[in-house]
Amino acid sequence: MSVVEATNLSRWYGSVIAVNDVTVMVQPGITGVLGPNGAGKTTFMRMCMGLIRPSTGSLRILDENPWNNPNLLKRIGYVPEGDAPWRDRTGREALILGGRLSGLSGTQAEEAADRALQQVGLTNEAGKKVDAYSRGMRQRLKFALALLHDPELYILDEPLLGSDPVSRRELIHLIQGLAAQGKSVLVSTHILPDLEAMTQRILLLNHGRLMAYGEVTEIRDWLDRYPRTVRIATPDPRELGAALWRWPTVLSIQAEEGAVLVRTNKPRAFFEELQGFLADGRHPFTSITSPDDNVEAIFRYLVG
Amino acid sequence: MAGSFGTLITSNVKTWMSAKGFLLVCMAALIPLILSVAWVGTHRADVAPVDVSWDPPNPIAWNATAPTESHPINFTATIENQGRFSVGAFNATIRIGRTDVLPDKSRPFDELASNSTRIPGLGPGERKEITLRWAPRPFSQFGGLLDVGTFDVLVDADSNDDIGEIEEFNNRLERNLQVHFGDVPPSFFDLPPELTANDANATTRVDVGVEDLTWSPPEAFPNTTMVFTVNVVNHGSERLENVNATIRVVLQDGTIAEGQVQKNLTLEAHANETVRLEWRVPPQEDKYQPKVYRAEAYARVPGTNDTATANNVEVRLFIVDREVIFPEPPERATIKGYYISVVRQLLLPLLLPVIGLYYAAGVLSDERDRGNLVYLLTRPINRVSLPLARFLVSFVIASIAIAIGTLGAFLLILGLHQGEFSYLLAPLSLVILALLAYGAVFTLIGVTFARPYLVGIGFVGWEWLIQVGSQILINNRPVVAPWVQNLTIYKWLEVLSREWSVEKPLVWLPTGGAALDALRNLLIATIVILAVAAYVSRRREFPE
Repeated sequence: MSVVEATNLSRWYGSVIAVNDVTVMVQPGITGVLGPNGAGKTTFMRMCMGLIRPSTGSLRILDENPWNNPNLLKRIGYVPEGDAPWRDRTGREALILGGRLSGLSGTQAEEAADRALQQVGLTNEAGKKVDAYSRGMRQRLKFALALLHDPELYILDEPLLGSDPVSRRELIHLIQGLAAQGKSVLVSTHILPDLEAMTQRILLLNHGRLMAYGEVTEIRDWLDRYPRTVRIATPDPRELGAALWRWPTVLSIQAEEGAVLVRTNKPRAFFEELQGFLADGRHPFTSITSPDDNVEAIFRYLVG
Repeated sequence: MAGSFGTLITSNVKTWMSAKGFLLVCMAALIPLILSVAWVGTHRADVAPVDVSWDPPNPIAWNATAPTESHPINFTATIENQGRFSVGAFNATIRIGRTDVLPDKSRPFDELASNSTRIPGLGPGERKEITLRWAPRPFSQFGGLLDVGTFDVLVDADSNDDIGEIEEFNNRLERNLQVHFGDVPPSFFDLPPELTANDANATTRVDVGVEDLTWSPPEAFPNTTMVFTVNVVNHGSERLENVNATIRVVLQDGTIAEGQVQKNLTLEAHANETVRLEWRVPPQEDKYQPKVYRAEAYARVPGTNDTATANNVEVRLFIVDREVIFPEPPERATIKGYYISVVRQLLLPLLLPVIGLYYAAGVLSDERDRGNLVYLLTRPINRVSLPLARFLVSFVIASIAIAIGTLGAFLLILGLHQGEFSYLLAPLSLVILALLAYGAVFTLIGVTFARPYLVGIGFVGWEWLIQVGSQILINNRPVVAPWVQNLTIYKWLEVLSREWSVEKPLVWLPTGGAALDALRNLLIATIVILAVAAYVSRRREFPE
C-alpha cells in the first residue's frame, strides 16, 4: 500500500501554481522530498496534513482523504517549518500538552513526553522553558512532538534545519530507527548529504512539477541520455586521457592531478568498453567513480 | 475528543493568565474603576435637603371669624451633609410657588415666596435647619380665591452651586402644600345671619357636620362622570329639618361652580344621611394646561349659624393622554444616573467593542503569532473546537473582569448605603450580553481574516460612525437611516439599555416591546454569527 497517493494533484494560490499536476505513489519507508525553494515541497506536505485542500486532483494519505480528517491525524506525526510551539512552557509541559491534544490521557501523555524527550536527547533540558532552548533544541522538541502518539507516518518539513552536526547525526539515526520499526517517513531537507545519509529514495519537485521519484540509482539510469561524468584515478592521467580520447562514446576528457575526468553520453557502453580496456593492466588505475551518481548531481541535472 | 477540548480549555486559561490577560483585566476592570475613583475623589461631600415641614400642618388662608387676620405658615427645612467629608459655605433656599405646564411643555415655577440662607459649613453627617415664613393671601382683587389650593414647596441645598459634591442632583426636595380656605368662601353663599341673643340657645342645641367627602374614580378625566358622596351628620340631640346640604365642584381659582347638588334633609338626632353628586367632567379646553378643581361639601341649618364644611379636596383634571399633558420630567441625573451613564456611555459604546475585539479577534491569529497554530491544527481535534474553546475561555475571563469593574464602579459611586443591587444586576447582564454579541462578531472576523485586528478595528469604527451619524440631523432626519443602525450591535444594546431609567432599574428579562425584540435580535444574531464562524473555521485553509 502506498503511504501517499497523489493523482494529478495541483494547488495554486491565485495565479501562482505551487504544485502542478503531480501524480505519484510514495511507498513505505523513508522518502526524501527534494527541490529548490519554491518547488512546492511545503505546499505538498501541508496538503498531506490537511492544512490546505488540493485545487484539483486527488490526494490520499494512508488510504484516507487528509482534508479535515482528525482521525487520520492520529496516524501522522508532523514536524512543520518554523519555530517550536508553546514557548512559554517547559519542554516537558509542551510535550504533555501535545500528547493531551493528541488524545492521550494525562498519564499516557506524561509517559509519552518522557519517552519522546529521551528519544530526541532532551531529557536533561525537560524542565527548561522552550523560550530558553537553542535552535537545535527546538528542532528536536518539534521532532519529539511528532513522536508522541507513535504514528505510522511521519511528515517532516526540514527537520534538521538549525541543528548542529552532532544533533543532525542523532536525528538521522532516529529517522532511520523509525524506518527500521516499519514507520514511513516523508522528509524534506535542503542538505543533500543529510538526505543521502537517510535514504536513497527521493521525490524531486521543481516549479511544482514532479521531476522524479524513485531510488537515486534508478533515476540516474533513467537519466542515461544525459552526459555523465566518470572519474578514473590513475598515476598517469595524461596518457590515459590520450588513450580514451578517440573513443566514440567519449564527449570530452579533462585531466587533473591523479585522475582523468571523462564525460560520456553513453555511460553503459562506455563502462563496458572501459572494463576491457583497463583489464590488460597497461594503464594502471586506483579507482573508478561516477560523481554524478548522487542526489546532488541528479538534483543539478534535473533542476539545472 | 472531549478530553482534547478540555485540554484546549485549560491551555487557553493558562494563556490568559499571561500578560495579555492582565491587559484585558486592566481594560475591562480598571478603566471604569479609575473613572469612578476620579469622580468620587473630586466630589466627596454631598449636601441634601432631607426634610421640610410647616406649621400649622393644615394651613388656611382665611377664616370668617377673623377675616382680617393673616394666617402665616412657618416652614422649616433640614439640610444634611451626607458625604464623607466636610464642606464649606453654601446657600440653601426654601421656595413656595406653583408649577405651570405651558403649551411648549415647559414647567416654569411661579414663585410666591422664598428665603435663601447662607450656611457657613457642614461636617459629615451634620445638619442645619433653614426657615421661611409665608402668609397666603385669601382673595384676589376680583373676588376669586388666590393663595388657596396646592403649592409646591421646593428646598434647594447649594442653590448657588458653590460646592462640588459626590452627587450633584439630590439637592432638591419637593413637597406639595395644601392651603385651605378656613371656611366656605363667603362669595358662594350668604353669610350666616348675625347671632342674636335669641339664637344663642339654638346655637348650642344644633350641631350638623359633613364628613367623609369621597369621590370616584380617584382621578378625573375629561368627559367622564365622577361621583362625590358625603355624609351629613346631626351630632345634636334634636331632630333637624330643612338641613341644607351641598356638594359642589368649583374651579380652584374661580368662583363658578361647575357642578352642584343641594338637598334639604331631615335628620333625626345623631343620625346621618348621604348626599351624592354626579358630575360630568367637562372637556379639556387647553391641551397643555390642566385645570384644578376643588370639591366642597357643606351643610347649613336655617336660622342658625351652624355651617359645616367637609375637608375640601382637590380634583386634578387631566386630559386623556397624560403623557402629553404631564410629560415625564426630563431624566434628572442622579448618582445612580451617573453610574448608569458609566455603563451606557462608556462601557457599551466605547469599551466593550474594544474588549470584544481584544479578546475574540485573535482566536486564531494569536495562536499563529505564538507559533502554536499549525501544531494545534495537526492534532486530532475538531477544527471548530479551537476557536470555540478560545472564545469560551476569553468570554468568561472578560466577563469576570468586566464584572469586577462594574461592581467596583457600583460600590465606589453608589456605596453600600445606596446599594440597590437591582442597579447592579441590570448593567452586569447588559455588559455580559454585549461581550457575548461583540465576541461572536470578532470571533467570526478572527476565523475569517488573516489580519483580524485590522478588520475588527474597521468594525468598531463602523459602529462608532453609525452612532455618531444617527445623532446628526439634517432636515430633521438622521444622517444614518434607521435600517442601517439595525446592522450594528450597539443599536440593540442601546434599545435594551433604554429599559433602564434613573428611577427604575432595568427589568430583566424584558417581557415585551422593543426591549424584548432587541434581546431576541441580539441573541439570534449571536447564535447565527457563531454558527457561521464554526462553518468558516471548518472550511478555512492554512497555507502559511
